[in-house]
Amino acid sequence: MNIKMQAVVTLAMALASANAFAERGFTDEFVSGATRPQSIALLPAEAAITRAKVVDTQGLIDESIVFGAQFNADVAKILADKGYEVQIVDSDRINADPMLQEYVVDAKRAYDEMIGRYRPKKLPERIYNAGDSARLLATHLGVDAIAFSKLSITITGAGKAIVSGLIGGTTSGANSMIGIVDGDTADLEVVQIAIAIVAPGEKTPDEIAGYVATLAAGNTRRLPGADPSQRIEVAVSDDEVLDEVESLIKE
Amino acid sequence: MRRPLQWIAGLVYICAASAGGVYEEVPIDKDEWRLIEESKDLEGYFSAQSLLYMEPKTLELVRRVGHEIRPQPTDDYIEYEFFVLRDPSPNAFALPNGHVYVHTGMLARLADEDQIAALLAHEINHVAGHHGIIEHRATRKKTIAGMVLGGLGPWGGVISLGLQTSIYGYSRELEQEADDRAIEVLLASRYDPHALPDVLDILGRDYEGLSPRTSTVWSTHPEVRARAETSRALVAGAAHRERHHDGFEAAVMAMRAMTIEDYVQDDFPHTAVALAESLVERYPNDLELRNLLGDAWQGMGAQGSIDAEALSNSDKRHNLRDHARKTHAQRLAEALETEEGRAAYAANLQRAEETYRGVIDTDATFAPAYRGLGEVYEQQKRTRDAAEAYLTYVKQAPSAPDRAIVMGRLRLLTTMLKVEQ
Repeated sequence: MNIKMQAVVTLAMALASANAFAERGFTDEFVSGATRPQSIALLPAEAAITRAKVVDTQGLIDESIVFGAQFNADVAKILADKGYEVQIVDSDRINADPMLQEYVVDAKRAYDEMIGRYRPKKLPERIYNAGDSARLLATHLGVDAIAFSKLSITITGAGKAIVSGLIGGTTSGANSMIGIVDGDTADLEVVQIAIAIVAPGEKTPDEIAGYVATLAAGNTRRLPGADPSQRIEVAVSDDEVLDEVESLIKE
Repeated sequence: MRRPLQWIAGLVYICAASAGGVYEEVPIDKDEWRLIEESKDLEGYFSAQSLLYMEPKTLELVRRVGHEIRPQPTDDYIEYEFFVLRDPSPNAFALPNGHVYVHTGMLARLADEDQIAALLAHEINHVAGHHGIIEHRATRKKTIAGMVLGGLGPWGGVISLGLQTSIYGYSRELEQEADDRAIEVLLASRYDPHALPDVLDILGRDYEGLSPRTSTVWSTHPEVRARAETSRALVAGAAHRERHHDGFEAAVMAMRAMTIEDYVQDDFPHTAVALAESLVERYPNDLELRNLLGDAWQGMGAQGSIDAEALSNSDKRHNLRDHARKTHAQRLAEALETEEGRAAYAANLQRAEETYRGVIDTDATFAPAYRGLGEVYEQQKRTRDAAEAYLTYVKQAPSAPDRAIVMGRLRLLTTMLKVEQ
C-alpha cells in the first residue's frame, strides 16, 4: 500500500472510530432523562495552549487562562440555549472561598484519576465514579451536575510543520473534552470529545478564539436539551427519612 | 519514536547536560527572558487551577525558612519566593526566576523545620547555580532531542521544554551539585546538615510498590537512596545540631491530615496508612488523626501488606499499569474473587471498625467516627448497624457539609431495611 492510500485508510478509520465514539459518550439514563441534570456547574477549563517551535515547545500560559475562560463562556451559552441552568465557577470565585477551593481541588483530582481510566465502552456500566468530593462540590454549589473540561491547542510555525512532516514530531491541532458528573451519585454520565483542524502558521487571538468556539460547539452538539420532567428526584424529606430509619431500627 | 532517534536524543541529552552550575551573574538573552516570564506566569496558572495551597501557617513556615537560608540574588531576574502546591505527590521544584514550589505531599512527610530547610537548600541551589538556564541552553543545542522530548507530567501540556527539567529533575550532576551545596547552605545556617540525608531517606521509602507515575528527582528509586548515602558521607564529620520543632507541628498538622485524605481519595492507601499510623503513634490523643487512620484502613480495600523491597521494577510497573487502568471498584471486585483478597478485605474493615470504635470510646460525641463506622458496616452488609451509625452521625452533626451524601445513603438503607423486614 502506498503512503497516500495508507493515509486515506488511516483517516477513514479515524473518522469511523470518532463517529462510533461519539455515539457512545452518554449513559443510557442520561439519554432517557432520568439522570439528566437541570442545573450544571462549569469548573474552570484546564487549558493548554502551546506553540511548537523547531527546538522547543513554548507554553502560552496567560493565553491558556484567557481562552480556558472563553471556552467555558461559550459552553455556558450553548447549554443555556439548551435549557440548562448554568453556573460558571471561575477561579476568582474559587480562590475567594476556601471551602469551595477545597472541594474543587478534591473533585478535580478525583475526576482526573477517574478519567485517566476511562474507556468509552465501559461508560454504560457505571463503573466511573468521582466519589464523595464531587458530591460535596455539587451540594456546596447547589447543582445537579458538574462539568469538567480540558482543552488543548497546539500552534506550529511553518518551519516546525515542515520538520514534523519530514521526521515526525508535534503537529498543530486542537482538541477538547467535557465530562459531566452527576451531583447526587458522582457517576460519570457524559464524555464528549471534539477536535478542530489547525493549519500550520502563527495564529492571532481571534483565530484562537475561533478554534475555541469550534471546540465548545463540538463538545455540546450531541448533548440533549434539559428535560426536568424526566429527571428522577427524591420526594421524601430528610426528616421523614430520619424518622423512618429510627422506627425501622427500633423494630 | 524510531529507535535510532531515541539513541541520538539520549546521547545528545547526556552530553549536553553534563555542565556544572554557575554561581555568579549570568546575563540572559531574549529567548531566556521568555523562560523567566513563563516562570512568573506559572504562579498565575497554578492560582487559576486553584492549586496554590494558601493556608497561612504552612505557607508562612515555608517562606520564613526559605528566606532565611536563601542567598542574595546574583541577577535582576531572580527573585526568591516560596509556594506550596496542593499535590500529594512528593516533589519540590525551583524555576529559573527563583520561585520554589513544594508539594503538600512532600511537606506532609517531613518531621521538622530542619528538613524543610534541607529541601529548600537543595532547590535554592538550582536557582543560584542557574541550572534552569544552563539546561535550557543545552536543550537548544540538541535540536533532535528537543523535538522528541516533551509532554511530561500533569502540567506537561502547558509548560515549555525549557521549564520541564526544572520541575521533573535536572541532570544527575546538577542534582548532586545541588545536594552538595545544600549541605554548605545548612552548615552556614542554624539548621542541622544531617537533615538532608534524613529527607532523602524519607523519600526513599516506597509504600505502594508502584513505579512513580511521573518520575521526579525526588521520587526515583534507588537514586534517592544513593543520594542519601552520598550526602550522609558528606555530613558525617559535622556536629549534630538541635532540631527545630517549635511551631512546626502546629503549622503542618492540618496540611498533613488533608494530605492523608488525599492519599485515601487517590487510592494510595498504603501511604495513607503509613503516614496516619506514624502520626497516631506520636499523637495518640488526637481524635481526628485516629479517625483518619480508620479512613485509611477502609481505603485499603482488599489489599494486603506490601513488601516493596521484594518487588522487582517489572512488578512495580505492572502495579502502576493496573492502578492506572482500573478503577478502585474494579480492582476491589477482582481481588474479592480470591481467597487472599477476601481475607485482606475483612481484616482491613475490621481494623477500620476497631479504630473508629476506639475513637468513639474516647469521645462518644466525635461525629465523623460514626460516619466511618456506617461506611464499614455498609461494606460488611450490616444494614441495620450502618443505618444506626449514619443516623447518629446526622443527629450529632446536623449541618455537616456531607449531610446530603449521608442522607442519600440513609435513603438507600431505608429501602433495604424494609426489604429485610
